[in-house]
Amino acid sequence: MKRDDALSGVAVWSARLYRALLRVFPASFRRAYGDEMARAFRDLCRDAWRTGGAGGVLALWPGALRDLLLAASAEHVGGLTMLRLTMILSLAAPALFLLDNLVYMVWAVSLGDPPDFMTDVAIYGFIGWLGLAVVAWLVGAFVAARQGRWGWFALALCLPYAGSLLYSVLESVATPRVPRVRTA
Amino acid sequence: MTQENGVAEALLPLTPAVFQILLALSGGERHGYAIMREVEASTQGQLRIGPGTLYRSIKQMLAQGLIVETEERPDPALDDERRRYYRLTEFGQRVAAAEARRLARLVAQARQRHLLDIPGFDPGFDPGLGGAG
Repeated sequence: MKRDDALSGVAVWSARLYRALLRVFPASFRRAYGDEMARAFRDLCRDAWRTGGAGGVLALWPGALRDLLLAASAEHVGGLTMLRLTMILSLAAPALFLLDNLVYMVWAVSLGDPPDFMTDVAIYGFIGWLGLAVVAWLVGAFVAARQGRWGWFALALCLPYAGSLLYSVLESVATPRVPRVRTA
Repeated sequence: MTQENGVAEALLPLTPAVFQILLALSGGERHGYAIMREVEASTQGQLRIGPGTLYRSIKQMLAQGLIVETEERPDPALDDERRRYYRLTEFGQRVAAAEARRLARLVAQARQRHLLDIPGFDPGFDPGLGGAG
């Protein structure tokens, strides 16, 4: 390393923090470009330090954070395969269902009869997890369809069933509910 | 339009970051940080590419065959030998030229509709397209 590359003070900590933050990128991207990115940011810090001191280095951070978040999220979404998406949705659906019911149950046990809005949360939570499950199911069927003839057969079976399920859910939501009457 | 030009035009429009990286590399091979500085200088600071955007774009451009990583490493006395240098491929040059033509057509349209004649309008640089002199 050349002597004039040496950093000091806030620039050193900024370069270290940036390297640590690179963990937001997928591992494969980090392995390929992590060192280069850290080196580029270190050079940015070095130049900012020379021209603006600690303030110059700190001024780099808003743009650096924005760049990290946007690039990392785009890299994650870009690398998202249909199979991974199916897996995530499939896991998210029962997790939401569980959370939804736990909240309702805890409220009912500890605070008594849940208010109307909790019932709404339970209903819309139910629709949310069911919707996610149906999307996961469709994505999975589409992935299977791309594997061959039996996959297309699975998709053909899946579509009308998913459609009728969604229709039932939408119909139940559209039906006006009679407000509950509290009895003394 | 030749088939090769057709392939080049299929990649258009380029994102501002990718086009600026191509422009920076048209001046010769550069490493990542040098590309960032070149882009900032050539756009008078209007476009600043962070390391995340730069290396995502580089990854995409390598996959599309617009640029390649050079095999040669600089003299360690002059620069950090671990740096990776990139250069434009012939295909990358064609794509950059195609994008430049596309943008030139847009500027010509804007000029035709007198959008560049608005008093006080400053493009921020001299486009040098069909100007007097």
